[in-house]
Amino acid sequence: MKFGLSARGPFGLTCRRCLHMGWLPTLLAAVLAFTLHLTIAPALGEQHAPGAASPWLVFPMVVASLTCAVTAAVFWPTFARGRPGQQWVERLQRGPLRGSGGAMAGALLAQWLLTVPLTTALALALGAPSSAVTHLQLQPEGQPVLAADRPPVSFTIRDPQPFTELRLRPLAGLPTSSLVPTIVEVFADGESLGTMPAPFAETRQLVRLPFSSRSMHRLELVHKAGTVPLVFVPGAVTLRAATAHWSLSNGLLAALLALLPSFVAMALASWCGLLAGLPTVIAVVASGLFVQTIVGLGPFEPTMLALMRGHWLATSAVFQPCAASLTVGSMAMILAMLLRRRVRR
Amino acid sequence: MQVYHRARMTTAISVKQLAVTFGGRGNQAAVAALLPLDLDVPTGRIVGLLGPNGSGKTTLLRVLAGLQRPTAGAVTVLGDEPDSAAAQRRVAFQPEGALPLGVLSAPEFLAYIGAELGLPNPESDARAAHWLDRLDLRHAGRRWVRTFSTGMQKRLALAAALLGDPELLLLDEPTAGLDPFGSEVVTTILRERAAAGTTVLMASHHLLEVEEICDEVLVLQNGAVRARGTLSELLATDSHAMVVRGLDATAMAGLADDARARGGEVVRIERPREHLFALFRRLAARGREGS
Repeated sequence: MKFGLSARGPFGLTCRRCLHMGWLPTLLAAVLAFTLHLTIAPALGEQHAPGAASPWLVFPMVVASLTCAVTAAVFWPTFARGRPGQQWVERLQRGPLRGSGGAMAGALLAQWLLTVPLTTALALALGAPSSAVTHLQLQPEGQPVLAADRPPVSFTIRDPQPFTELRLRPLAGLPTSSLVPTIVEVFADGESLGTMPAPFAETRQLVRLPFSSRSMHRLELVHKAGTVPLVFVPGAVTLRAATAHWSLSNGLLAALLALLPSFVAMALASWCGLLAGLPTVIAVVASGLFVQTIVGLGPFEPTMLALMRGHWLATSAVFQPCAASLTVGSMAMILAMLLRRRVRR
Repeated sequence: MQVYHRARMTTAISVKQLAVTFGGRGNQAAVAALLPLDLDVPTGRIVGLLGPNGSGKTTLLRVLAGLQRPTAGAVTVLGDEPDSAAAQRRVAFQPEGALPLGVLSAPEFLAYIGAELGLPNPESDARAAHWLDRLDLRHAGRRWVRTFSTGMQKRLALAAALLGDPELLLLDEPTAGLDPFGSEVVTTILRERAAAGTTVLMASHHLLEVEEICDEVLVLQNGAVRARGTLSELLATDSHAMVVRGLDATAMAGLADDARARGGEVVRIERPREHLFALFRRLAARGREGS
């Protein structure tokens, strides 16, 4: 007799279970988010600000990751102490995590499959650009302050690909005398690209300077006029590359990066589950996800924001918090393996 | 399904001075679950493990299954360490209690067990189908395991334990919660397995059942072995008893008088009646015909 069973191990079984449990809540959350976006979208000064819609994308993403992580913890018996039939699994699974690692991987695959439609179709529906472009954030070489009595602020570009736009969003200091907005002129490799279209008077004021596609090695910001000192903190100067990437690949990458909070939450849960029962493990999963997604410690929020703004994620700055999350998750996994070896018998 | 007769190895279980103690850290008092005990079980035997609750039966089974590390002593099962990979494949353990992964169907659950035992999928499915048929679980279909009755879960647990064609079966209360038919099927299967060379060590509170199928019993109390031997060794007495059937009342009274005159004790004279199990079987058969 053939049962036609494709999933037989912890990976496949957990993945299937998470998909089964997760598709409906994720779909409902996506529909709700889209409806709310249409009905109560904030009126913004700018014509097109898709980044403002990123919370609507975050909501169903969080629902999907929470459902998958909690389902894995409930489904797989070695995630928590005292689960029914744990002895069967502990005896059959000879790995250091007794199958929890495979179950986690299955849950992550299920989450990725559930969230890919969100980061592609829903993101487009919420207004994300149809193509993604590298946004290169520049760090100033010397002092980051631009004022009348100071030298130009300069930047070296290590990846001299063609660019089409410069975006400045500096912090504004107190005016040195009566308020006169600051005018900034931009030079690329010693050649003027022009003056920024609007003078700077407010902090975090975004001004864009489009130019014909060109590569450059050095960028200089020169103070032309005005009394408002400008501080170019990290993220205040961005060059927009000319090459556009397919938004689908950006969506796939965003769904992949969104797995990190779930990985960290489940790794912490598998560590706690050595001594704690299921309610505690679920609380750890939920609070781990809450801290990383809602509170914003981790790559989740910047990733979704970058996706909605059409930033090509492969070259974006979201990888820095990713590394931190990955380190925390990996450490928790290693600790769980070591402790399980000690505690099991 | 073919049951393979194995090449005989003399000892299936060898336990020397095995002791297990729980607790004893910090303010926690140490509890001796098993006092130093020795045990050798030859292959192909069915050994019953008896004793009141908390006597150490389950702890002994867990040690033999490689799930509990002994505090002291040496244990080998089929010549290997209990937690070795080889022993894990050749020894099956059916713990008491609910089955894991309760949202799987019976075939899915057995497919998982087969995969973890390293069986090729077609072989695993064939064996699963055999045991589901044999243990009357085919009708369960795609129902979740957690919706099964206790008896169905017990039968599925036995099917899972038998799936890998083990050489040693460690069973914790294998017939608890089973109806008489289920018990009969289980005991028949255990006898067949023992005849094919599988060693069975089963903990049970069903004394009649143990008496019926076990070659030998081990009685544990407070972690120590209180008695051990074959049933005829343990249950034999100096006196003899006679069971007579087929006489009428007058002849029976005469026989009783004669027995008394010879110094015997007539314990009971009764009209023979049908065994409860036979009644149960007849009623069930009638029920099946009716449906």
